[in-house]
Amino acid sequence: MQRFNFKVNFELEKDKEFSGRKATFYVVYREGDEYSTFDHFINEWQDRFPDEIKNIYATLFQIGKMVGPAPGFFKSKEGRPGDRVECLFDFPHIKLRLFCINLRDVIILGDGGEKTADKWDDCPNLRPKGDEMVVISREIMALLATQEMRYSIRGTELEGTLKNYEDEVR
Amino acid sequence: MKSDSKPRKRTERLKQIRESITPEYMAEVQDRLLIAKRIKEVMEIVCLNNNALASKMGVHASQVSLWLSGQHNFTLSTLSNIAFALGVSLPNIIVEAKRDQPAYVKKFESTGDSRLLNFQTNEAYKEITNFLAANQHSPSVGASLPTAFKSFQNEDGGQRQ
Repeated sequence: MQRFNFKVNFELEKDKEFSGRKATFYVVYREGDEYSTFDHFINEWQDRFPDEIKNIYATLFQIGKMVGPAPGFFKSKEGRPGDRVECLFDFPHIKLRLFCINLRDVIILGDGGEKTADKWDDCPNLRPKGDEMVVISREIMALLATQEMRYSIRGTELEGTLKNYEDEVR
Repeated sequence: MKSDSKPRKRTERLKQIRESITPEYMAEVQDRLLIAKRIKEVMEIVCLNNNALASKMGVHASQVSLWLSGQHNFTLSTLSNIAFALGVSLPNIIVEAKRDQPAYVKKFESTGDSRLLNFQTNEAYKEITNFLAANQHSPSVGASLPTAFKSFQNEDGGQRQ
């Protein structure tokens, strides 16, 4: 599909802020970027939506360390079939949406923003970030399929190649 | 091989957010999530999906989605209605949905639906059993949270437990 026909070079890094005995979170660093996409999300939206950001922080903290993931916590099927792109949260009274890739006990945090349209596809804030998450998810699924990236024995972490590009040789 | 990439950083704002959250707020968020998770678990045990529960309670399915999201501030009345629709007691939902199993046993006795007795093969039931085993000495998971969260704050970062 033309819309998702672009490449994103990225690396996953385990997030220590939220990961715990109940779930492991990863953040996404685009190649050459010193901040993760999740950090950009925080930087971009915290001033306008401090309470929602606080709620997202507390929710992720609890999911990782005390409660664990549950099907209802994320809105599923936000991306394209099979890509596991989900959304936190999607209710009329909540403005911010955060894209994630939900691999059960492993959750990859992406970018997000204020939803200003009924569908994120129609929202100028969310569409580029959602599209990017779909592309990243496809790359991750491909790496998992070839076993370059794989789950740990307990299924709670990712191992192997956590990036989809080669470092340039100087 | 050397990378041109810049050193990785985390935004300072994460620390600010962490420090702004009180243990009480954390406990509240935890309770919301735990209750939502328990409702979902009981739904699976009594074989009700979102639409079926919504239909049974006369609400829209999106309302059930909101309940299960962990983002709903439940009233006692709503929780009581949910518990009634699921055939369990309110304490069963709030305190330990897992320990009091009779919901499906009673339902089997009243309906004769033998599918209800297949709970041993139900993944949710296994999770519940594991949860109970892990928390059997803890009267309230929530009660331990403020201490755990304070510890986390003091360490200035997350740690695996």
